[in-house]
Amino acid sequence: MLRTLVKKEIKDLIRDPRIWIPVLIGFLVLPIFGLIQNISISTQISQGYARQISAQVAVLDSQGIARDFLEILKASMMIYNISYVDREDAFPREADALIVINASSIESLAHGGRVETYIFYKTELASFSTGQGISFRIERAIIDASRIYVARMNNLTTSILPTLIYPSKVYSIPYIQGKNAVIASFDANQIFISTFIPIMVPMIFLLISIFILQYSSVSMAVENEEKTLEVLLSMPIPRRDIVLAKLAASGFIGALSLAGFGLGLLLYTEMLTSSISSFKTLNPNITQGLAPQYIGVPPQIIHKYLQGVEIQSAYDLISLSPQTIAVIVIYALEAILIAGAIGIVIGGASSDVRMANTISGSITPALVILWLATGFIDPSSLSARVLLSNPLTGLPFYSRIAMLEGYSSPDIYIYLVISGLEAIAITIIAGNTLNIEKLERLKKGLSIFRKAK
Amino acid sequence: MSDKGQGFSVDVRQLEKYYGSIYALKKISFKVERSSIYCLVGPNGAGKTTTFRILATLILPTSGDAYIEGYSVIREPEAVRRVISYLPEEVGAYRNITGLEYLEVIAKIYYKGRGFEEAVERGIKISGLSKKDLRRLMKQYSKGMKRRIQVARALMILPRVAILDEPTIGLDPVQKVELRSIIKSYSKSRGITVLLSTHEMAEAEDLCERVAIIDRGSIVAEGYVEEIIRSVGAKNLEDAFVRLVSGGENAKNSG
Repeated sequence: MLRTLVKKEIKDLIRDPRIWIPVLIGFLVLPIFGLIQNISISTQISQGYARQISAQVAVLDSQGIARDFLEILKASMMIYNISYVDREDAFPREADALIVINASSIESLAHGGRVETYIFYKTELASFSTGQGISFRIERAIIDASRIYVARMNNLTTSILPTLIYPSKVYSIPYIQGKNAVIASFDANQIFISTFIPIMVPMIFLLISIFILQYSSVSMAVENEEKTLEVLLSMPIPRRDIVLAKLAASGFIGALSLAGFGLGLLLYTEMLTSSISSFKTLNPNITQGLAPQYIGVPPQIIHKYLQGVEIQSAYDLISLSPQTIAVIVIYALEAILIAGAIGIVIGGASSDVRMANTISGSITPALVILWLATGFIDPSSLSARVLLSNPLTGLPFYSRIAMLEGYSSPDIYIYLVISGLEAIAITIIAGNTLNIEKLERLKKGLSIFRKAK
Repeated sequence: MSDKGQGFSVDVRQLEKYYGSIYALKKISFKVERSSIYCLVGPNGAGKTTTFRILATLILPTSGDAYIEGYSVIREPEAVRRVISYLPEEVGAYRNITGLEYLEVIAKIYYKGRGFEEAVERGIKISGLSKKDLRRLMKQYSKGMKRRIQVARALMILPRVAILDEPTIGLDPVQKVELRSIIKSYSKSRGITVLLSTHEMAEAEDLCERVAIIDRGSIVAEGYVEEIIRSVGAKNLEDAFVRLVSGGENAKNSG
């Protein structure tokens, strides 16, 4: 019996051409995203990995004993252009990284100790990008150099090297160029919030845009389904007012959703951080283990080698300037406009709510995937420009890079203008599609996805 | 205002409409006298709704023109929209607002101040719905109730021309009779020109002064009801309709 029913269900579903809409959208949209990211990632690889890294190395209380270690490090194929500094200095502008090694810890290597190293890597982007690539390569070099050093000190063959477990204690500290600051937080809550908020906030912006798109498309599809659109269009009401009313209403509901999300996020963060706080009180070492790359960097090291550079807490990362907030607000208004207008076109072309939901629903995962991909995109790359030139992707992308990197390029105003023009253009298109004949042509186009039988 | 169509409320001239390769309207023409009730009768797909949609400025004709109160539907659609009110055949209702709220929205579009209150009162009266029903969300309405609210919406604003596509569809016989008398009385007392389509010959005979029988995009007969019946030697309008429309071929052959 069940088998018969399942068969019937599958037949019924698979013969409904509408189920192919998400498949088609995924099939068509993802390769386009792939192309956008491909350009970006290959640019990053060529910049981050194929390029020489220039690093400056400072050895604290440098003595002869460190020389061997440094020679080994220099011989590493991974770091080029090593130069030494033993003086107080700001972050070397021309270098990609500043490596500070504690000389006494090099000595301790011989007795089973670990080399203590701080890597201040220059980055514009606290994401999976160039900066971390550099930091990663330096880390590898230091670990390798430490292993070779230990092997030599103990007369071991190099074949044993990989089995020597991390004879180094490496701290990677991002130096954020846009802010002339290093992030050296010592509080687990701060680290949690500062890594969490810059991911959640743009995600929420993205979701709200998608909601608005869905609200307006459903509202239009209902007009189609109930045939009330014909009544509306036969009345002495300007087409512009009909579109603006739908946009305003969807925007208002979108703002309510945003408020709900905001409150929920506050509560969620509060719950999570309080659990971390209680954990920290019990055992500070455990919380240190949560994010060792940020914890335990003595401020005196930062002050000595990075004069003039601000030490920021992770909280500073997420505090935004009024200017940045203004940009986000403008992007948000543009996103409301464009999402609502796209929704009107989708809903207008859909003969019923189900069709509208099928189309707008399948846009959602595509946008979410695109959003996840922004983590790999450098703000100065071509792909970033494409994303910033559209309010739907620009809003989450900008809010992310503004929080994480202190992105402050004046180009943002150009992107805002382009995005605004796009939003207006789509709104005008939406207004023009408020025409029974045009909508019927669109519906006819979509009718290939309706049940054939 | 254009000088065309003087003396007539509606003046349809050589209207032609193609949907791609489908020839929906074949150069139809007719005129409707002011304050009269004019019916378009014909089978499904004859072109009634296409004609009404053109008159309601929702779609454009491929060629020809139509004048409503002297305004061209092609060149002056905004002016046309101010003088008409259109009731589509299968119109539903906004599910999550009440009947009363809907009537108020409509009244607000057309009136300010005291006119608004009066329009809402008229709407309530035409709808024939109880106060309790008017305060219910329209998603709870039966098909008949939705239809009555829509007819009320169309007439409460006292349009110069009311274009009603199958106004009594979905109503029970008692409601149909009630609604016909409302349409008649509004047309007479308020001087509203009514252009309506119907499937029901009894309705056409009861309501309409003049009738156009439309079939496959062409008007096959037009005139006063009695004239049409007499011209084909029929017993009544229904008989005339059958002879003129699809069955017409058979009738000719057998007779």
